Amino acid sequence: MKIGVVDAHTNVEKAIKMEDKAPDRIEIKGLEVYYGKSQVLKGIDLTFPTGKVTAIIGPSGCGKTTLLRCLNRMHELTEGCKVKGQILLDGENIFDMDPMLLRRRVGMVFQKPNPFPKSIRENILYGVHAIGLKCDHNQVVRACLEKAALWGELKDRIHDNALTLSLGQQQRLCIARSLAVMPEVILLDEPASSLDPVSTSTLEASIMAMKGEYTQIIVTHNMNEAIKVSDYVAFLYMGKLMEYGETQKVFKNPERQETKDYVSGILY
Amino acid sequence: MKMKTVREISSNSINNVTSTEMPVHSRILEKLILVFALLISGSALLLGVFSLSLNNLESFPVPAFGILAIFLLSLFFYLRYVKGKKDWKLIIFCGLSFGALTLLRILPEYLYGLNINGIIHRSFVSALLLISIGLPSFCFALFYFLGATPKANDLSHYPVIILPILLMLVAYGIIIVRVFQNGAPNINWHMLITPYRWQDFQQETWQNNWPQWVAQSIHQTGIRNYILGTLLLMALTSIISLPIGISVGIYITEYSSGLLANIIKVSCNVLKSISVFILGLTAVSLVTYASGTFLSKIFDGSFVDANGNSHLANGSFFTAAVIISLLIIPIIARATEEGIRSIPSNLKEGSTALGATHQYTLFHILLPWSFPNIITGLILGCAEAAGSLATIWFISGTGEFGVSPLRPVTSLAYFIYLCRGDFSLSFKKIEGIWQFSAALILIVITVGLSITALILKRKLSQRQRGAQ
Amino acid sequence: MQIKKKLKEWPRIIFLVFAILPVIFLILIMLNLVLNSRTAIHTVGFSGLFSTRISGVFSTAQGLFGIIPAIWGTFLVILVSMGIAIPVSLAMAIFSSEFNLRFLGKGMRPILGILSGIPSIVYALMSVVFAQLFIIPKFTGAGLSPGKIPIPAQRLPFNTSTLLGGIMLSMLIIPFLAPLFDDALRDVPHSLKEASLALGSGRWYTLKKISFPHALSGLISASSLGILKAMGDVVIVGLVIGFESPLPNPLFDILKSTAPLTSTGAGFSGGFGQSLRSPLRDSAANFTGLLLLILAFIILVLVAVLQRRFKKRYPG
Repeated sequence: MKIGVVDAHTNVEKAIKMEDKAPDRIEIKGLEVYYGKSQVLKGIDLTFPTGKVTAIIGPSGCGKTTLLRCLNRMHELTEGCKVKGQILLDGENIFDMDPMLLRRRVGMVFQKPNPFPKSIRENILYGVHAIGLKCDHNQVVRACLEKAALWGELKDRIHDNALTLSLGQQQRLCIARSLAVMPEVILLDEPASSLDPVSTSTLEASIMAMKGEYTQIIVTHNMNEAIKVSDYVAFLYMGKLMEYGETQKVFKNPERQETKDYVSGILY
Repeated sequence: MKMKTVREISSNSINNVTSTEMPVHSRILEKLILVFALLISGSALLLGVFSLSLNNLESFPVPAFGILAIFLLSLFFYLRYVKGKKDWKLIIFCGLSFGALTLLRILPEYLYGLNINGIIHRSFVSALLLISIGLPSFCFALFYFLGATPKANDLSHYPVIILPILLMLVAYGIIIVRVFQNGAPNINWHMLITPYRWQDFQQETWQNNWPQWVAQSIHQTGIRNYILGTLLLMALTSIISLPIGISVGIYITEYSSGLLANIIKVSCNVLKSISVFILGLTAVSLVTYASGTFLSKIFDGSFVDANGNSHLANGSFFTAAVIISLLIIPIIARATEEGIRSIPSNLKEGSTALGATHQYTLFHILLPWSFPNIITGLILGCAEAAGSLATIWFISGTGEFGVSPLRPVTSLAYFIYLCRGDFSLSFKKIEGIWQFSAALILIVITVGLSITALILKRKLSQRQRGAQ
Repeated sequence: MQIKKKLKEWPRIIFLVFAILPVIFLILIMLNLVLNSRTAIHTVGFSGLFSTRISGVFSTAQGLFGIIPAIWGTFLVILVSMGIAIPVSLAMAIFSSEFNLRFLGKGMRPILGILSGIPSIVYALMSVVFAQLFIIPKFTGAGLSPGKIPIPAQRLPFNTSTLLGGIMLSMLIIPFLAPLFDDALRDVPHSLKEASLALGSGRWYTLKKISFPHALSGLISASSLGILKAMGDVVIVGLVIGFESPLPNPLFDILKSTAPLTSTGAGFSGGFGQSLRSPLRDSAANFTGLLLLILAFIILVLVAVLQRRFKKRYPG
């Protein structure tokens, strides 16, 4: 039972111009995250530039995924998770917003591909139906699949069940699905960790193609991937932000010793 | 067409428009309308719930529907002309309220006819209408009150779920409270200790200088035998069903390949869902087949008492235990299965790596580990056995001759049935007062056992989390 | 050597012997039912058994053992009790698994565990209370003075009616059904729910579009277990509805009492007094038991077929 009309998307056409492009789409100020008694993130101050790809790297358990999940308030699904500090999206504190409205502006792709057990077309249109967005369904499906580099492979199969796709295709489908609700920011949580190298490189190509139009934040273990796709990189260690800067600079001339130790694992 | 930024679209909820564009008095007016809509639909809902039981609230539903219709209409117009949102659902429910109003005015106070076996009071109809229109209206009002955001959409669905839950909890509460109220005052130590016994004897009295023999009877009543009967039933059932249940559980998990294990699994599932009535019939048949053979002493509970009188009976505790254990075996088998499956695989592998045989592992590792699970299943089975009536319905006696495996079966549940269903007046006068007390004791036993099993289950799941 | 090897296997043999016992018992029960029904079938015949005429326990007439009213009674009682139990159990399951209001939702499971311990005889006993609270005010013309009551008093549903029996039966089933529904809803993979929430849909939308379809097969099998339990209970329906009754005249009149199969069978074998027992009556009772078993099998098969259909639509 739908209780009421939810918002006024219905009056706007699909083409939306971002008239005021703030230089930093997301700003994090003094973020502290506690799971019960233990503190996972200790005072993070970070910004994410508009239209660029920022990678968050660091050893396991340093809080990368926690940080990512805070950006669209998915941490609230975990019990006992407490948060202090501010996260500003275009100047608005996301903790004051309605979480559902936030998640339409900040989309997420998960580590393990999780398409719904429905057809490919229904997967993509899921978010559209959930919000009540008025648009041309066929156009949306085609546009999203094209952006995720799937249109060529799947244009004759959009009514097939999504679970029949390969893992790499499923993950790109998840990207396409999150694009359908027209987000401004896309969060990617180790998107290539369950994929083989060929699918990984196709995925990386999609991420590069989405630069400029979307602000992307990617958490990754794979430093080659971080070097390839990202413009900026943030190094997290033990819940603290150790270093942040342009990718080339951080990897070639890291300022902190911990960063040097971590990135020295790759060969130039 | 004006292109709005994404930010403006996303945050275009009622509250934001209010705070930037509306003058103060409109804001107060809006809040007032919303609060009133909430109050009136909430009270319509409450009125409907209370009308389910009370008959004298009949003067209220009609004005309630009238006010509700007016408020829904005013909310619709406010939203339409001030905010620019057309919510047709409000109009629909306004119309429904008007319809309910007229319906209630037309209906006579008592409805009957169509050969229906009852006279329906109009308050039943008004209760149904009040709840079915009041609940959605309350949800709408809540939605707008909370600001018409998507989160408010989610929250406003809560009342639909909470109402049935509350009603059901109240119903269960009534049961437990009433059993306590009626049963607790009658319980005393004497009643718990004394068995039911009566004796007729002739007493010699003198009247007009002539001896007269007058029939006297002594009534000594209490429910001791029924309580003991329930306990004995639980004990016997445990003894019989424990080995069989454990064996079934072990066989299914350990030697689980093959047709035989599947057959056993299927028959356990069928036994679990079989009607207890059929089991009662089987009990009767068991007694009938056994009578006349050498097994009759065990199964049908006849015996010769101290005075040399032989009493025929319909079934002994042993029979009842055998039949009830058919219900309990699947429970214990399931518990054993869960216990064995919950063992972390490295424990099993560790034992095999040390060179132990399969059977040694079974006895020394698997069974001790599953022991708490088995005990939990056993406790649940005992609770089931204590409360079972249908299986012993046809074979029960009154337990006046003592409680032992070969005597006629009786239990607290049967006693409660006798109080309810028996027609003998003397029984009702003397022992009928303990109807609720027996129910109370029975509930204490079964619920106590259930709580114990629940606590054990929680401890078990903690152990599993620790082991992993 | 061979004997020694065989002896080492003794635990397995003992387990096997014990484990086969339930199968043997089940077969014996079914055989018993079939064999005992022969007398009734020979004497009264199928036409007599499937007629709609039923004789009272207290009448001396022989041979009126039509059980069509009993089958209809079972259907009505399941309709009423499941109509109450399924929505309420669903509401409880949703409350405790999806909308986690923290401690409130967690408290639901222990409460249900406690309530499941109440035996059915207690519900039968307390039916009087609910009759007083609900049925008597609403359906028996409570406020009318005696002269004005248009229906003869013995027809009014004071203490026995299918509606009351259905209500008490649903109270028996809810603590059993709600945890099963809860398990079915919890089995939906968390990743799917997260994906839906991350797209900006609310919890209710996720429930409707993702959780329900995924949990549907589990919900259906749980409901079938509930239906079997409702069909099989004889104590509540016997004491609250009665032991036998004719077909109700407007068929769906739940204010009349229409005894279902279980209590009709109990009535046949004279649940009140032993003096009414006779081989024919006992055999008729066994026949009702057999019919009950067949109905149960039909329901189990239907559910298995439905589940296979759902597995095809939602693989994985």
